[in-house]
Formats: sequence, C-alpha cells, structure tokens
Amino acid sequence: MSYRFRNRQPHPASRPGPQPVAVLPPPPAPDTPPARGRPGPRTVLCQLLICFTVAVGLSSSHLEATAASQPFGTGRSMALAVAQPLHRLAEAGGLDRPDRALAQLLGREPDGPGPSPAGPIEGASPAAADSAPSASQPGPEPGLHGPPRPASPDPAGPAIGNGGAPIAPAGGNDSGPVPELSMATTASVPSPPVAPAPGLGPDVVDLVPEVDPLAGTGPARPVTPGAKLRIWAGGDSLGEYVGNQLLAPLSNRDLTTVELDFHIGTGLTRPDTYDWQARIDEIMARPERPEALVFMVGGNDNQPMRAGGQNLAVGSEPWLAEYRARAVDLMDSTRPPDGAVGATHLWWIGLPPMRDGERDGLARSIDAIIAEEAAGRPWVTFVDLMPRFSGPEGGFAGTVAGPDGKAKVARAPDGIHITYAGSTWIAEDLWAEIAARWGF
Amino acid sequence: MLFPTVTFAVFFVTVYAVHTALHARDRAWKVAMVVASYVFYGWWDWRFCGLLAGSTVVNWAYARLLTAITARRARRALVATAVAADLGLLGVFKYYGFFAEALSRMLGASQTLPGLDLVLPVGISFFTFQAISYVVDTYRGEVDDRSLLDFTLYLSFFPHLVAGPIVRASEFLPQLVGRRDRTDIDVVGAAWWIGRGLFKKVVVATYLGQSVVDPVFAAPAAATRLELLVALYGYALQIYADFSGYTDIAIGLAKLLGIQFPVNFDRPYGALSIQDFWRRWHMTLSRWLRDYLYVSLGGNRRGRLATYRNLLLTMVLGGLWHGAAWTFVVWGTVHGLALAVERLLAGSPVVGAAWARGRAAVGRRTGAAAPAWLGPTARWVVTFHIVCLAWVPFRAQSLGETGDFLKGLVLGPGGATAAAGSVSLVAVGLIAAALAVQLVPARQLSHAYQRWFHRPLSRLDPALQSALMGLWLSLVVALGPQGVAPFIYFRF
Repeated sequence: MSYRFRNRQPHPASRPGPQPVAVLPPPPAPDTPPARGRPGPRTVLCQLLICFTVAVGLSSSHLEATAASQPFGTGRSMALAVAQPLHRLAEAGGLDRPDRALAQLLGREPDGPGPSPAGPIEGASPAAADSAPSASQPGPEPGLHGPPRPASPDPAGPAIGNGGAPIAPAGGNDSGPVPELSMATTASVPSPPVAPAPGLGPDVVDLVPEVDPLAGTGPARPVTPGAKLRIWAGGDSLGEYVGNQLLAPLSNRDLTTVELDFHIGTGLTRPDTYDWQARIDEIMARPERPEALVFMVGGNDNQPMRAGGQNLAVGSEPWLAEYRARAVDLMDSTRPPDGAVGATHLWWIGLPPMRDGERDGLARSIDAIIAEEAAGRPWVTFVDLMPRFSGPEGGFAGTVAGPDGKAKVARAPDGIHITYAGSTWIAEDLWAEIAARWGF
Repeated sequence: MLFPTVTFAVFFVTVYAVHTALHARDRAWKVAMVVASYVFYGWWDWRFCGLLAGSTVVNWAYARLLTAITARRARRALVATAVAADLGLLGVFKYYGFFAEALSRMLGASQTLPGLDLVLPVGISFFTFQAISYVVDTYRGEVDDRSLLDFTLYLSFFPHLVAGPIVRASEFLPQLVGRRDRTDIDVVGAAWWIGRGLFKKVVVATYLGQSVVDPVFAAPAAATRLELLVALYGYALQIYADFSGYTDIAIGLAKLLGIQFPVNFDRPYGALSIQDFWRRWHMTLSRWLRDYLYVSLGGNRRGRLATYRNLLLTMVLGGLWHGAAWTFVVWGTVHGLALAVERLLAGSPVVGAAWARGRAAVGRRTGAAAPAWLGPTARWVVTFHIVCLAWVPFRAQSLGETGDFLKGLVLGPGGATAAAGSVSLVAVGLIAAALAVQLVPARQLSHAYQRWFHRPLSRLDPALQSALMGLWLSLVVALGPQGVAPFIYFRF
C-alpha cells in the first residue's frame, strides 16, 4: 500500500475525455486499435445469445443435472421442461460428446439427473445448509419452504436421557453446569410408540421392523493394533465438520481406522441427488464393514420430497412420515447381523438449533423423529445437540458455553453450520463414547 | 444470485436486452440499471433492499447538505455525523455480536449482553465504504453534487454491489454523463475479464478449496506437515483466485455495459515487500484505507512513531473490516507490524550495511560477485511467506484452530499424507502454475495478451468470437464441479 499520498493524482477514470480501459495489467490496456470496428450493444446482445447457445449446447447435461437438482415443485418442473429437450437435442446432434470425452478423461461420472455425489447447487435449494460448503464462506440467504409442523408436542423433542454412562465434558466447569450432548439409546429409555408411516403408494411402506430389543447391546470385541476398530463417518457439510474433528483424536492412534464419507448438499429428501440408503447398503455389505458409524444429515432437508408420485410439502404430515420411513430404513441397514451382537453401532447426530425460525422448527421435528426411532433400536444412539447449542432461552445462540464453561462462538455466521470449536466438542464426546464402548 | 450460475446468465441477458433498448436514453437507462441492481440484490433477501435504499437516501442527503452549507465547522460536524451513521449501521449488523461477546467476557460469564443474531446483509461493507467515500469526497470538494438517481446507481450498480471493487464516486459518476462509453464496446477485452474470472473461480478456487484447503483446515491437528504446507500455499492461491475472479467478472460485466471499473489485483504474490503487496492486492480497498483512514489518522506527517502507529491501526481496522473476529484482528496486526517493520528497516543504515556485508561475503565465498537476483529473491521469499502465514488466521475459524495449524506446521507428523489426503500431483501442479503466472513480468503478460488473445480475436467475425466464448464457457463448466460455492468475499 502506498502511503505517500501527497500530490495524489486523480484516478485516470476521473479525468475528462475517453476513459482508459484498465489501469494495470494483467490484462494490459486493450486499447490497441482493433481490426474491426467495435460493436454496439445490439451486436453484443446477439453475441451474448450466440455464446450462451453454444455453451448450453455443449453443457446440456450439466444444465439438466442442475435443473433436476432443484427442489421438487413447479420451478423444478419448469426448469426440466426446458433443460430436458435441450439435452435431448444436444445428444441427437452429438454436441454432448466433447463433454463426455472430457469427463472420461478426468475420470468423472458424466452429469445426469441420476444419483451422483453432487455438490451444492446454487438456487437448487436456497435454504440448503450446504449452500455454504465451508463455514468460511457464507451461503446464500436461506429461503423458506412450507411451514414445518413439529412431530412432537414438545418442540425440543421427546425427553431423551443418556443411554450409556454420562458423557462428561472435557475439562472443568467453573461457571455453572454446561449442557452435555445427550446420547440416547433404548438401554435406559422406554421406547415411545413408533408411529407407522401412512400409506403413500409404493414408495412408502411401514418399514418399522420387528426389533430385537437385545440386539447390539452385548459386549463389543476387543480392539487391538492387529484388529483395529473400523470407524465410518458420513453425512452432509454439517456432519463433515464433526467427522473431521473425529480424525484429530483417532487418526494417530494404532487402534482405529477412520473413513470419512461426506457429500455436501445431501440428505434424506433427495435420493435422486445422492442416495444415502444405497451408500449405507453398499458399505454395510463389505466383508469388513464399519463397526462404529457416525452419521449426520438433515441440514439440507428443508425441501419437498417425492414419494408415491406426489410432491410432499416440506414439514407436512406426509413429509414427516416419509422422512421417518427413510430414516428407519437407513437405521435398519446398520443393524448388526444375527449372532453378532454389539458388532455395529450407529451414532446419529441430530441437528442443532437454527437461527431461522422455520428451519429451526423443521430441525426439531427431524430430531424428534430420529430420537424416537433410535429409541427403538439398541444399535442406534441419537446424539442430541439441542441442549448444548441452545441459548439461555432454549433457541439459537451463536455463542455458547464450552465444556470449560467459557463462552465460545459455536455457530458459523450462516446460522446453520457449527464452528471448529463446536464440532470439536461433539467429536470429543463421540470419541469418549466410542472408546468406552470398545474399551480402549 | 452468484455470477457463475444459470440464474445470473438469464438475468444478465435480460438486463443486456434492456440496456440495448435504452442505452441512448440517459435517464431511462439509469432507472433500468437501478431496478436491475435492486432485483439482483433482493435475490438474496428482499429486506436488504430497504437497507440499501435507506443508506442511499441518507448519504445523498448528507452530501446535499454539505454542498449547501459553507460554514467550516458545520461542514465538519456534518461529515462526522454522516460517517458515524454509516459506521453505526455497519457496527450494528457486523460488529455488535463481536463486541457484545468481548464485553461479556470482560464482565464475566454471568453478565452477558443480549445477542441480536442479525443476518449480515450481503455486501454491506462494500456499499457502506462507497457511501463514506462519496460523502467525504463531497466534503473535500473532490466530487460534484449529483442527483439522487446518479448516486443510487453509483451505490447499487450490480456488478460491484456485493464484493467490489470499491469504486470511487469520482471514477463512476463522470461515466454517467453522456453515452459515449456505452456504444463502443470492447467485447474481446470484456470476454477476457469474464472468461478468466470464471476460470479462476469455478475451476481453480473451487478445486483448491474442496480438495486441498478445506480438508486440512477442518482438522489441522490430524494433517501432516506436508499437507499443512500445501494447504498454506493452496489457500493463498484459492483466496486470490476466488476474490480476483469475482472482480474480474465484475470488471468484464461493467465493461459490456459501458462502465469502466478500476483494476483490483495485479499479481500480488509477485510482491517484493508487504507495501508492494498492498499495492497489488485488493487495490481499491487499500487506497480507500489509505485515503480515508490512514490520512485521517495523520498519515506520515507526525513523525516516525506516529507513522508506525497509524500503519498498525489502519491495518488492524482493515482486518476488522473483513469480519468481526479476533482472527481478522490478528491478520491485520501481522500486516500492520510487517509494514511498520519494513519502513523501519528501509531507512536503517545498519540494515543497509549488513546487507552489503552479506553480499560481499557471498562474493568472497563464491569467488564472484553476488548475483543480482539474490536480493529480490530473498525479499520475495520473505514477503510471500509472511503473507501466506498471515492467511492462516484469516482462514481459520478461531485462534485455537490457527494455533493448531501453525503448531502442526512445525511439530506435526511427517510423511506425505495422513487423514486429509490432500496432497496430489494435480494440487501441487496447480498451485505451482498459479504462482508462476504471478511472477511473470507485467510487460510480458501484456505482450502475450495482445499478441495471442486480443489482436487475433478482434479480427474474427463477431459470430465466431461468440462461439469461441461459448466454447470457453462450456469448458469451464466441464472442468468445474457441479454447483459453485459462494465467493469468499461475499461475507465481508
């Protein structure tokens, strides 16, 4: 920065006469006389239209994928009505070949509306948590979908106790009690009745299994350097922070292997964008399947779902029932096989309070569903973030007391994501829980 | 509405069609551009438009009063009130939580100030700074009093609205007079700015962020020294590609609409000193800080110590401008101290003598005169690494994370990759290539641009030009990931 400001010259653009194009390279002043006369706005408009036509033709698959990833509803239908014929036309003319060839060269799956680990789509779900894949970057302002209706009369969800030993916060507490992360299994919680999903056509069935109340509660196997504990952590960007913090205490140890499997902009509402059920089925079918699973989604689920040929308005009763059915399906996919009691355990991390009121209501409804379903499955622990991340009045708070009792910024500026500090608290508690369960 | 999206492409073509129809009608064109800018801004949250409109009217009214009043004391009071009002607005939305938290800590955990939990309006720092510059320049007599319509367009013009460049009224407002610049368009030059901006943002910044930087910064304690080092360089290039990519696109879009913006970046990582760095990085912010803050603090007119103090204060406040967090204060402090130390050493005969002795010693050992490149290279290495290390608190979410990162850089485990697995040939190659471009002398870049881009493209038929631009656009789409992360500087 130049601080010799005396005799400051006015900026060239403020001088009278023709304005120079650029002050400094690169690029340099492109004021050399062009071979052709410079065009006026009408020509430039035509050029813009040609440019976009060429780009759309060559990138039609991306356009269609973007349209398909919009939230279910009229906007998506309209976008697809434009994008799909364009893509078909481009395909027929062979315009998509360069894009396919490039994708192949880069070792990528060509874009399409089918399931793919997709990133966040600007405009796809304006309220999606993963519009901000990094907490260093603010997301677009959340949009608002239909009003969520809490599934539980208690807006904070059902009272869930701690299924195992209390998870003590690390460090002392010199300024009063600090809310702990509440981890609940049915080991100590009476199972609430699990509401069956209402019939919604072939996509929605009552998936609540007949649960063996003792499955998964037996002693875990001994963990040794020769037989490391296999940990898998997956979810969306909210979960990614926690998953990454899990690495800190675990990765340098000889007793564990950690697999991170996060896909930003995903959740349970849009299996067409990323199918978590298929992914969980795939990893649980491995010969050496994960034993400790940590999963966190929901931040992007404030959008309609499609089931039984219908679009389900976000937060409506059918939407909540469908969400429950999908969560149940996913939990049951992690059930330990018969005769392998205690071999697998899933920690399903709930959503924290959200700054936006409607988003917060939906988060509490989702938490209530997950807590209720986890309560009926001994191999699943629901990690309730609401107590620790709530302010004095029980709602959203950007700054909350940490395990040491000192106030820390726990939430990212977008009012959705959790900061490094907040993620560390969750990861430390999870780590303690995992270590205690497997006795290392 | 982000620039590199289908939504914005549709928006811009629509705006351009209106521009084509109205460019010859001055007033109608200005009204249309204001409406387009408010639609663009309201896309995030329509409530923000009220804030922008309020700030516009209030600052314009202050400027009108400043023009009308001649009494010196009254004018001083008026400009002070206007600046205080602008900073107050910024303070409420941006800094209330930060200072409330700091105060609560000082008072003890039991006495906390009520939190407002306000959503930070996009681009508030940028348009507030522009508003301040207009009022102060009016006070200084550097800009003429302008109509509300002109001032509204100046403050809200959508290409620069949310992330700069911070355009001065004296640069922007003269361009609204007449229509000469809106009929003679350097399409090839605009395409260059837009095309390279898109590539920087969609391909370079997104790749570096997702593959190199984010995994390491998410858990620095779990990364190896090599991963941390690559992430350190990677973030320096990521934030450059992200922010300069945005302003490149903004410059190109404005150019198509017949408005010239000042350049905001000039190969900043080729700087040989921190002062040089600030002449090349976010140039429109650094000159704003210089002219409205450093000068107001007294600049270098009150002795050496006061100069150092002013440098430090300017950079600390510049850090705070980026965000209400201690990490930004640390970033600003590092730059302020570096500037002060540089100034101290530059005038020191002891340092000069030591450097001469060092060169002579090298000459004696090698048997030849110390090479001329030795000094600049050493200065570049030191400058580049100070800048890179200062980015760590800038990127980190907390001082704790900063500490983890820096500790890991020195004491972390060795080896190529650990958990993050972020070190790859592609990543290292991309960082090296991006850095190499920064080191190419400006003259050569200028020559290459003219010879290989502007001149040949300008000779082509407009339809062919457009087809080539479309081809480039589709290449950027194909190379980039699906979806585009918001620009880093949107939060400032």
